Formats: sequence, structure tokens, C-alpha cells
Amino acid sequence: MLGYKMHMSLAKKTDDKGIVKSLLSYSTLGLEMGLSVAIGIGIGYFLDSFFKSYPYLTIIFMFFGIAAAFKTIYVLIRKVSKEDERDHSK
Amino acid sequence: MEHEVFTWASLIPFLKNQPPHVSNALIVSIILLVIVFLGYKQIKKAEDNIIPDSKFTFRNLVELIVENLSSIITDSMGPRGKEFVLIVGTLALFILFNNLAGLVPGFVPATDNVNTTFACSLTVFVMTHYYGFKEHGAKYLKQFVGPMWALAPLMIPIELIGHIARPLSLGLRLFGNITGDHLVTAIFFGLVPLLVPLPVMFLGLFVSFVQTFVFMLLSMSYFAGAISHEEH
Repeated sequence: MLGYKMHMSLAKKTDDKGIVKSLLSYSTLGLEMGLSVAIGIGIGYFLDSFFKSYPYLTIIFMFFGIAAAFKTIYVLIRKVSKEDERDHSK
Repeated sequence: MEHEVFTWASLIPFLKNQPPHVSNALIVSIILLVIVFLGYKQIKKAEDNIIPDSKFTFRNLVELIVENLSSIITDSMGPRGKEFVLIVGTLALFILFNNLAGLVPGFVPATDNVNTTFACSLTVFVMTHYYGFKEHGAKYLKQFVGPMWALAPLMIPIELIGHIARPLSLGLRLFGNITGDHLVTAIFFGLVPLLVPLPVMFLGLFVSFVQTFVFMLLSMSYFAGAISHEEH
């Protein structure tokens, strides 16, 4: 689904210089996803050492981090489809 | 890198004691300021500042840079992008000139130190929330809660993690790319100084522009997200 949408939006923009822009914005996705999980685990670990409850909060916040990573993809898909609509209505 | 590297900055008495990324950032900033000041003086001197000069002058160059920057920003942010030309353009020029300084022998790019890149990305982070609060008031906090109140305990940590990841990835990406490129150039230069580092330096030119553009693109999308009026 994600691949399809990316592919469609890229295919439509080949005649445009927008292809560079969309490629660059997709390329930023990987680092941000990885960092989200890392930050989640970091916050969980810090809270665990604060409350002395290792490892429960670390695990919980790891899942929050993973959810945040997937939310990044969701936000990007929303942005892409909105731009597609704007291109269609032109 | 702990070994002594020769930089032009070590010849200037006041900058000698500063760490290389500080002194080089200062030198680049002074160069930028001189360019801006000269361009401003030429525009002031012209009797009619709408008609461009007949020959290619320094003023044309400055106008070209500013016009292109503001058109990139207004193209991707819409009509409200004009408010952000100052901050995004300043950051873009600073980062671009610092990246390019890495290709000049005797200069160290200031952006190959995490302190510089995180200074830039934290500026974007703070200004994003400043503009968000300025636009929406206290309602800005509502976008962290998510679609409904029952989901708030779930959504707030997710949003917080997402927002912290933004400046971190912004700074880390710029730092990593410029450090990697500078290091590869230096190693190739150490191995075979003749002609071999040229392709790597060309790659460095490419990376400098692309990373500047990525930084601009991301900070623009963060600003646009902060001032947008739709439900998140």
C-alpha cells in the first residue's frame, strides 16, 4: 500500500522537478523511524531507573516508540495523498 | 579527531584558541555578512531598485540567491511561506556555506560537529513550537492529545517521541553526511593526493547542496505542520 502510493506519486511527478523533492522527503523516513524507537527506549530506561521498575517501563515505551515510528509513515502518506489531490484539482 | 589539523583559522590570533568548528563557523559567518552587506549597499546605491543592472553585477548575484530561496520556500509552503523566508533562508545559507567550506583546503566544515548541527536543528525545533503557540494559542497543545480524549494517555507519549525525534534526526543527518564526506576526502587525499580525491570532492559538492536542501525541506514541513489549521 505504501509502496504503491509512493510509486504512483513518483510516476506522476516524473515530468516535474517535484520528483527530487519527494525522493528526498522519503529518504528522511528511515532515520526518523529508527530514532523514534531509540528515543522511546531511552525515555523508558530513564523512567525505569527513576522508579526502580526495570524492565516494565522500558518495554512499554519501546512500543510507544514503535507506534511513533509508524505514525511518521502515516503522516507522510497523508501528506503525499493531499499533494496528489492538489495536483489533480489543478 | 584529536590530531592537530592545520586550519587558516589558527593563524588569526583571537580565533587560535577556539575549537575548529567555532572558529570556522565564525569565519563563514563573517564572509556571509560581508556578502550581505555589499549587496545591501549596492541596492541602496541604485537609484531605481526595480530595474536590474544591464551588466551582471554583484547585486544581481545576491538578488538571484534571495529570489531563488524565497521561491523555493513559497513553492512548498504556500502563500504563508513569506513569514518563514527569513529563518529558513538564514539557516540554509549558513549550512550551505559551512558545508562548502569543507571543500576548501585549510577549512574545517563547522557542520561536521554535532554542536553546530544540533544548534541549527534545535533552533528549528524551538521556533516550530513558538510559531505553533503564536498561531493557535493554548489550543496548540490539543494536537498532542489526538483525535479524542480517551486516547490521550496513548497519544501523548507517541506525539512526544515523534516531536523529539525530529530535531535529533535533523541534526544527526547533517552531521553524519558532512562528517562522512569530509573524512573520505581526507583519507583519499592522504593516500593519493593527485587527482584521486577529485570524484570524492565532486560528491562532496553534491552532498553539500542535497543536505542543505533536505534541511530546508524538513524545517519547512515542520513549520507548515505547526501553523496548519486542520485536525491532526
